[in-house]
Amino acid sequence: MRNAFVSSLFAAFGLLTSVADAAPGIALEGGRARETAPGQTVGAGYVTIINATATPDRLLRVASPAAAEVQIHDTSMQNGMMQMRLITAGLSIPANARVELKPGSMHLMLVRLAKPLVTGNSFPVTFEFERSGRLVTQFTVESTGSASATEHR
Amino acid sequence: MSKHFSLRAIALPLLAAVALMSACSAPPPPFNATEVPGLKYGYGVELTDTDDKPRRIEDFRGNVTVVFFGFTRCPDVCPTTLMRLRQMRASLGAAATDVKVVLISVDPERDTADALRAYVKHFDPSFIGLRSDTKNLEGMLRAFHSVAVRVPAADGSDYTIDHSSSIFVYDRKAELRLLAEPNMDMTLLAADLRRLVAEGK
Repeated sequence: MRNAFVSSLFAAFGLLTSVADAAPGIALEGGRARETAPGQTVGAGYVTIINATATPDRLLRVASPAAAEVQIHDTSMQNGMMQMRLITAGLSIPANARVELKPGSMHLMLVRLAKPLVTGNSFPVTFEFERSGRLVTQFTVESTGSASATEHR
Repeated sequence: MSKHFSLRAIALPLLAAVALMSACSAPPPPFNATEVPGLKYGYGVELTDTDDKPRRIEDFRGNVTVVFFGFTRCPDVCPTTLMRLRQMRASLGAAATDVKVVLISVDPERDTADALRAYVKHFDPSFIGLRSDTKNLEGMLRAFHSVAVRVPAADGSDYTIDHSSSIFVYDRKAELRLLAEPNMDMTLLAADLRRLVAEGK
């Protein structure tokens, strides 16, 4: 009796994990943008891309009604220079990996904002992956005083 | 036993004397940032603040001044640096009064006085934005021994600017004393600034 109960528990657990395994591979976590200063026409967005599958994927395009264009950028500091580069060939997302877009590193540049980004507001952002297709997530606008927005590589 | 004792009797005062001498002549501990010997970087360059008032770097004499380059269309790293400097300055308490933070625009063409004011004050009302004359950007950069390079977008419609990443720290004599990088641990930079603030008192 007790054994039957335990084994049914295991069965339920097995079912749950198999559901998780079967779920689409890419997840987006912690989507956020920085509030903008008055008059600022560009903004920065950050998100973590999680690929829980054994197959690599590629982020091809990002779009949002909040901006005319969303570009994938990489900021780097090398040889005494601060540089920002557009990633044109898409962003490769390795298998079983977390790719973090964060301040001072890879980020999304929101070009020609439809309106200023105000703390507490949120807006949808669509990510298009080569394999996983389209995923939409909400970005929350954070104050420039918040801790996660100052985290630096 | 007695031999040991007498050795110790000589050795201990000797050690103490050596320790005392070295304490007197010991140089101060190094700064966390890179110390340079009082350079006059940027002297003689006419800059204007966001109220269109002429300012020169040497006019900041009396303050400890943190200077770095940036531009308002820089969405990621310039705001990150401004936010980190704001937190750093706030951590100084009363000493913050004598610490000025200055962003010099490397894009005076697009960074109008209004745009630059709104940008820097958004992070901290005490922050100061300075611009060079658009015709003198090269001259300004040369005086600060710094570099800014326009990088056009692929379709030519826009540009971004690569620029020197160093943070310059000027002492109360308005001489460049420390070089830091924007990703430096800000608690360490704060400790350096406290020392420079204390120097002139």
